[in-house]
Amino acid sequence: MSAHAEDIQAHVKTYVVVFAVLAALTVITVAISYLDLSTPMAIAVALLVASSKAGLVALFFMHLIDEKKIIYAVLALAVAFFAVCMSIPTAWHVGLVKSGSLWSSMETGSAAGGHETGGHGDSSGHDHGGHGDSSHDDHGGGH
Amino acid sequence: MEIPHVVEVHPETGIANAKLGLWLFLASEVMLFGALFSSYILLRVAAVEWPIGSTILSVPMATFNTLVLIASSVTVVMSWVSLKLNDFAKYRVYMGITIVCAFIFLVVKYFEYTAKFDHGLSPATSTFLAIYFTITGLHAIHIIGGIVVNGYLLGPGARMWKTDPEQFTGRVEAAGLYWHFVDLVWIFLFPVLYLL
Repeated sequence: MSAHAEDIQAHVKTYVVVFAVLAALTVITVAISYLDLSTPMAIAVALLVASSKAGLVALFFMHLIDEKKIIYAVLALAVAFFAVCMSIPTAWHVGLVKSGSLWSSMETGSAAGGHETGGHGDSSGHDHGGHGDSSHDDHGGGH
Repeated sequence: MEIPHVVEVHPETGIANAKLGLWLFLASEVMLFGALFSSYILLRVAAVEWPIGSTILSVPMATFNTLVLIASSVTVVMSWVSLKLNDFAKYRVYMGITIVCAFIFLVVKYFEYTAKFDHGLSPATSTFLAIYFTITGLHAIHIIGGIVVNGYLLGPGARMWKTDPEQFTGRVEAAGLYWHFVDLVWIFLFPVLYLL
């Protein structure tokens, strides 16, 4: 029983350390946002810090560092789905998926909103197929 | 009728059914929020113009809320540890703090939302605000759900500690896992919506 209690006391120490690291990483995330990083760099760094924090929560608070196989299997399913979700915008962005009728119809549907915020030079290219394609097609090159 | 393997380990899976069920639920939650994150990326990549979150939203408020949620993650796990150590009084203290943290989060969120509405900013204003209100709104509903479950475990549900302490500890562990997940989602929401 006492060994068990000591075991738990060790856990408590871990929780306190993890809490301190999470708080520090939160401050770091905010501090980094004040640096004048380029957008891709800022996104990369912010997601790296967020993933580290999420990893700490999952591994130590949710005890994933020491779990049964079946839970990893369940999570693998979720991760696979998540990967597909994330790859859809990527595929669309790099032009693997053509921005077809769905997106064009959405554009015309909310045309007022788009013009309100957008510059005219961009929006004319946009009407011909969307952002992901515009650098590849003739209309984009013309500008 | 008794539900099998609520506390004792199922021979096939190596864990209690309650825990497996909770993890399956969390997997579905990953998919729910994953789809919304995917939508966010798609909308942002397609947008002609996209504001940096900090120009519209309050970073100090969100930073404070991030710290509040992280703190509540520690207290909820400590409430479970207290039960493991047979210290029911401490359990009540830690669970109580967890619920107070959840309320603080919601109050700050309320002030954030009303500040936006007062300035005429609503989900209809822009695509950015539409996805902001959708995702943070869904997250806030999860916070409310956590308050309901944790409140039950602190109040009427705590009677089970006397009749079946093991099952009660299992319930607190499951509620804790859910609460950590809510914290985990916010850890991603904060930089994505407020800082990038």
